[in-house]
Amino acid sequence: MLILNGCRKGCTDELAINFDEKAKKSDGSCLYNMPILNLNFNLLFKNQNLIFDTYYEDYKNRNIAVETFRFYISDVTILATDGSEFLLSEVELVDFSEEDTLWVNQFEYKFPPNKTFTQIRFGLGLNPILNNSDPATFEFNNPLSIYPGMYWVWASKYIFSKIEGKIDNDQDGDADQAFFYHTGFDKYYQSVSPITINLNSTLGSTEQLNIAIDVMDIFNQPTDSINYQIDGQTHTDDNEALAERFLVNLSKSFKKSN
Amino acid sequence: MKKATLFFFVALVFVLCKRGEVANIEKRENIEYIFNLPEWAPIPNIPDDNEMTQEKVALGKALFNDKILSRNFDLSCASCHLENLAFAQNISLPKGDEVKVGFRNSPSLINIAYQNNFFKDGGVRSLELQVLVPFETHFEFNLPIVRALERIKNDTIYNQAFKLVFGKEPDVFGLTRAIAAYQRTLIDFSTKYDLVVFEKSDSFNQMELAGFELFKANCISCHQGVNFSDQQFYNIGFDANETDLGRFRITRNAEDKGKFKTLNLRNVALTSPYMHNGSLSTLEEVLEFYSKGGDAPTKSALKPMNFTEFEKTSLKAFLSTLTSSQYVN
Repeated sequence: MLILNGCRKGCTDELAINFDEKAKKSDGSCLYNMPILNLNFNLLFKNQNLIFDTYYEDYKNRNIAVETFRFYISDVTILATDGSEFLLSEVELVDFSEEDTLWVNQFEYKFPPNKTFTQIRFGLGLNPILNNSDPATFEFNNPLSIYPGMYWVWASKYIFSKIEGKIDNDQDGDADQAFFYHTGFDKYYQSVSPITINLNSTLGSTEQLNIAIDVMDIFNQPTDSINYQIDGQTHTDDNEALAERFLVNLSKSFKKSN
Repeated sequence: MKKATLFFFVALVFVLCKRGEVANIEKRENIEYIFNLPEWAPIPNIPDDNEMTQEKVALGKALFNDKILSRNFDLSCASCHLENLAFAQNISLPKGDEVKVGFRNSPSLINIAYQNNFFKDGGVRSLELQVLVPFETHFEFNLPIVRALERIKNDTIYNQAFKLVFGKEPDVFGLTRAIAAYQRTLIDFSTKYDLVVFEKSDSFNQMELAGFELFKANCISCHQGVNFSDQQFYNIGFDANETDLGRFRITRNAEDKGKFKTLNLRNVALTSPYMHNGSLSTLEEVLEFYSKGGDAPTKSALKPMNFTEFEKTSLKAFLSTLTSSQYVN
């Protein structure tokens, strides 16, 4: 018996949920409660939570309401102080719709323990490889399937972002005009500047990471202000410059929030 | 065909399976589809994820001809790709849902299996992806593909056929693969041109021969190969106002404005009207267009060919030898 116990194999890591205190030699069977990261995207209007189909007053005494807002992010990666990187997800479809859709604005990932992560980075839109995907090869609940309505069939390319809404120019309660920005094409894929975060990962922990987008920031960047009353509509192919401006501004509008 | 062949395959499986063992459908091997090609004809490229089977082709043919795929149950693929017109249409621009008019002429589908990209601007890169287009286009079927699939799932024969072919319920993958597979079977190499040039079993008359020589001297640099297309894009000075920007719509490269894909000329005598917007009614008008080097010579890749009346007549005679035997009276 002593000889058998001396050779016992199992999980020898005390941090594992199946740690075997009698095991003398690791057999690679250790299982862990990996840390969980909840990545949440929040939509704001002048720092307040935005509700779809509700009018908000902008900086020029007009009311605007957002009715649709969704966009792809790709290569979602967190960077640790030790120089390592961890890919959380190859692609996500962030959808702020309040209706019952398969796509959401909250994502859950397992990520490596015992590290400090100080940055998150991602691309806005789809990198050229993902943008070349065949949507028919994905199951209906995959963000790259045809079902979210984010695919230009005539170009065999995905729509990177869609925001739609209405403007009440005279604040009389009636919509005066619609705005929409449907953006895409490989050359307008945006690398979002890394966002500073502070995540300490420990086994069994659940961490929250909130990223906010303020609609007013999208239209009022220091480098470019987009007047949606004048420059309010693009399908990209009919107003390429406006689509690029929108994507650049959106890429600059992601902020870490509490 | 109103699902007749498809029904045959499904019925056959029911007969082969014992009652209560319909699940065995999913295990049945499909029968390989063999292209009936002359020795000299190239073999079409078949995507790895869409092998050709007889059952899949039958399913695709049924879907191609079925009007349940359109919002108002009044259009099918065959509405704009008529078999008796070499799967083209004899109106300038196609009419879709609620008679909304498209902006480009419907092409022939004969030998579409040999194309590398689709549409006159080359924007769609596979025959499978092309299948998605009519559903999501308001001037075509105008029926979101999710709703089209609901209709297909509610059809018992289709439901069983998808299980037979793909081992699962109707979905986008099966829909695109089946219709594309059927379209790849629309192959024809039975023209007089084929008999003369490849089979060496016939000969051109004097007029046709004169036209062939002119064609080789003036047209073949673009209209080349067994399907008379180099599959490249050119601005031939057709649309001086550039109301349709052609290839530019896809590449966003200014040099591609007004460029359109070289079209397959097989059955060209049947597929009037011509050009990307169907604005030329006859082959005579087309030959006149090329003769003068296009409407916008400064933008055109063409040089005026200055054909004589005899040359135009002989070219037309040659082009008529590109008609498939089934359409020759």
